[in-house]
Amino acid sequence: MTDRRTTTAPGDAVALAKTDLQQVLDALRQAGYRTIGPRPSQGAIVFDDIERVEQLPIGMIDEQDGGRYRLRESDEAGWFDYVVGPHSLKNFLFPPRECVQELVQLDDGWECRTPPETGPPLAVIGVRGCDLHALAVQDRTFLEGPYVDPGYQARREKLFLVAVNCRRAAATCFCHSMQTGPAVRGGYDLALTELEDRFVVDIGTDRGAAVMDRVAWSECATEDLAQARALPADLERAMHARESEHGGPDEPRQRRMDPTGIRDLLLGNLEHPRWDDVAARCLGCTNCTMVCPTCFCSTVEEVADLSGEHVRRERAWASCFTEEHSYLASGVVRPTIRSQYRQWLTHKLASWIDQFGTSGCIGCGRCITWCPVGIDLTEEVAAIRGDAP
Amino acid sequence: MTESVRADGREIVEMLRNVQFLREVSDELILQLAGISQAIDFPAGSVVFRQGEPARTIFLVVEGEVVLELCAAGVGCRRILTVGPGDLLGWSPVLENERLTATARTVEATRLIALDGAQLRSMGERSPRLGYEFMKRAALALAKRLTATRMQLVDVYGSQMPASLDSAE
Amino acid sequence: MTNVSTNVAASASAQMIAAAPTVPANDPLRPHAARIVSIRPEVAGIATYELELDDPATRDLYRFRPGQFNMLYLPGIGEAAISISSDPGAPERLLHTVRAVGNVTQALARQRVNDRILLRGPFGSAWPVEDGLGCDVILAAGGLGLPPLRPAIHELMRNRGDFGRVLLLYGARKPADLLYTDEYETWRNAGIEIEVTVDLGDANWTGHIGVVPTLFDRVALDAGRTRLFTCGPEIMMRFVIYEALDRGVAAEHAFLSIERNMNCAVGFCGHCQLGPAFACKEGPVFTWRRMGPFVETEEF
Repeated sequence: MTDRRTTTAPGDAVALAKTDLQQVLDALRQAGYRTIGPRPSQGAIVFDDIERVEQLPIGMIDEQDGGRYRLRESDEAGWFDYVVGPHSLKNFLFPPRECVQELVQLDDGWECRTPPETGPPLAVIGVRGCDLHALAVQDRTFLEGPYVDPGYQARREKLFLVAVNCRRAAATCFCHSMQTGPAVRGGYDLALTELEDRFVVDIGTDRGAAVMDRVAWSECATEDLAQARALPADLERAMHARESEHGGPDEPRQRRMDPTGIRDLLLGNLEHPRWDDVAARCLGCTNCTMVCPTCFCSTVEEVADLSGEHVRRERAWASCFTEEHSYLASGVVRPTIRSQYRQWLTHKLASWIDQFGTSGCIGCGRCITWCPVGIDLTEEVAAIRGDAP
Repeated sequence: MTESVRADGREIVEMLRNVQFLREVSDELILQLAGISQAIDFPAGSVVFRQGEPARTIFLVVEGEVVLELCAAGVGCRRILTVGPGDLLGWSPVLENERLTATARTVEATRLIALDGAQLRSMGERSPRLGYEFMKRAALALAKRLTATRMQLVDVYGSQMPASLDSAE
Repeated sequence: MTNVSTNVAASASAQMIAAAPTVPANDPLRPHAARIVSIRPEVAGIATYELELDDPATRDLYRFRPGQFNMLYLPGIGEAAISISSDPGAPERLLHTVRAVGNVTQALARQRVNDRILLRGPFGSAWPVEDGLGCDVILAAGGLGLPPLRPAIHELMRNRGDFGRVLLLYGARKPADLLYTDEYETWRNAGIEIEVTVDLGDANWTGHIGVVPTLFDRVALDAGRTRLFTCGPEIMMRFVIYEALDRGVAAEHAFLSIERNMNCAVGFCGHCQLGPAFACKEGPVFTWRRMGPFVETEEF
């Protein structure tokens, strides 16, 4: 019997009893992190503060389809067998409303101050593979251009990520098409794969190793490691298989999207009749842009007090599904839902590639689930491509 | 006082060759047109033709500038367009319109080539090639004028602010 | 086909100004205080504001290129993206010609000389004046499209010998709307050919009448060596470019300045997008080659 290692290093995989996940939470909180994890709230799994593993939605499963989200209990469900809900890391790194500047009028002019990021560092448990890709996509927007968003940067540098490998996919997931999952590949501090009574924990960074070293992990058995690697691989195969099956209302078809040549396909079909078709269904409610983990449009608004001497500039989420988004003194550039939907989809799947070198879509399917009329962008793309759905 | 230019055939041909309106017309057709053309000089401020007059002559501007006006009782004459070297002036006879639709007045000393409308039309009947070339160019010139007129109509400047890009307010 | 301009560029004496934005890369919303030095009424509802940055160090650092814009900020009211219309060779003095049409610009119109506003910039892409070295340059402007081209006129005048013909084709709705009329003589004397037109003439107007694209019939182009910079209402710019393309000017040598909703000016807010480009980063100056198809798509 070899001596148990006392420290872990990036690249290692160790085993952790399920209940000992609490020690990870405790270690993070002791290190000063605010711990966020999946919590059930108002019928959905959202990201919220978490202190005890008992607060996790253990034994819950989500059923997602176009315009449909239901949570239910299942004996077969483990600790993380629901997938993504309406929240993503975007809610924390790029908050819906944030004060980006404060100004005070003094005798000799305005004094301007960028409020420093003062919140505690965040540790998020339960981030899926697709959302790690979404994070990388948002990094390109806010960190890798000629300008850097200071608030995003401050929060991003301190972010601790405990990712989870999905063992199950919702029907609306199409990470397998977008090459963003289901397996988690890099970009995390720790990654969990859930087995019967324990997790296989992959160490991603030195920070992750430091946290694990304060926790009672054990050596990972070979069979456990093999099982952990097989689970997401099996899921991916199953997702491909389910693309054509239609197992009934409880097992809707798995979504898929063929990203081949999609940039030219969409930008070369700006007058395709399908845009009229989807415009007749879309309500312009902006749900899709709110739940999409890569959408980044915002508007900076002035908030002044009565004296007019104290002004806050607040940045709030904006959506291309509004007339405000493309307003000009001479008129609105995109006044119709048709032009707005076209903007959203061509940006997300096509223009994004020109702008950031990657697709803006990570295949999480949130926009499909949370659309009140169930508009499915994979179906829209297939229609423009001329494929049968 | 206008005066016919004492130009010999060769000079008329030269003028026709250099007019933008007849660009790329073959020499053979130019010679035919020269046969029914004469060059006329107008001093500044003179009327070339009046709105409402019978339309008999087609003009091509060689040099100078002519302003087109729409005139009405009480309102007077409103200037709607200026045309310059190379442009067609007085298109009505080409299409057998009975009356001229605007008044043309020279802004500066101007030289025009005048072509007899009736003769041009019968030449076009006899020689379809010439008829086609002239009609084609007339149609193109009128199409451009129509587009320009539409832009004047919608007032592209309106309350647009190309320089001052006001953000959403 | 040899590119005449590159040969000339090798021996060019042209001094083109480089931009130096004063906004820190990691704090792009930080504005700087500026004083309104003068306000010159131009035509109805339009005035030119001369601004001077307060802080001497910032003033020394500030450089802009022709076609770029500043975000002018009135705290509590908002920001407006305004093209800079002054000489890039004298960046300590910044001119902005503004029409009062929205909340911010109307508030700006209520300011007085020596009042202070806040400023961020410069932002955006520039008229590629250096691309025109050894070439004929046509500037086609309509209405308020002239102010963003005026800095290019300064650069062209400063390096006049390095360019072929320089033509300004300018139009407005009526004679009273023509901007900068007191400068035309200076520009002509510097070797710039100017053709002015209006949509509607009045009793005293003896010049051209017709929209700006009709001015192309007045000029003989050497298409192979012509560069076009156009700014004005979008319809006007399109038809100006069609005239140029019809005469053989290459689509990659036709540049236009596109207006879109600007909120942050640094590529974060997403409002200014036109297809694959951000008007605040890759624009507002674009080539027709790249942006033509998107500009021509309705409501895009």
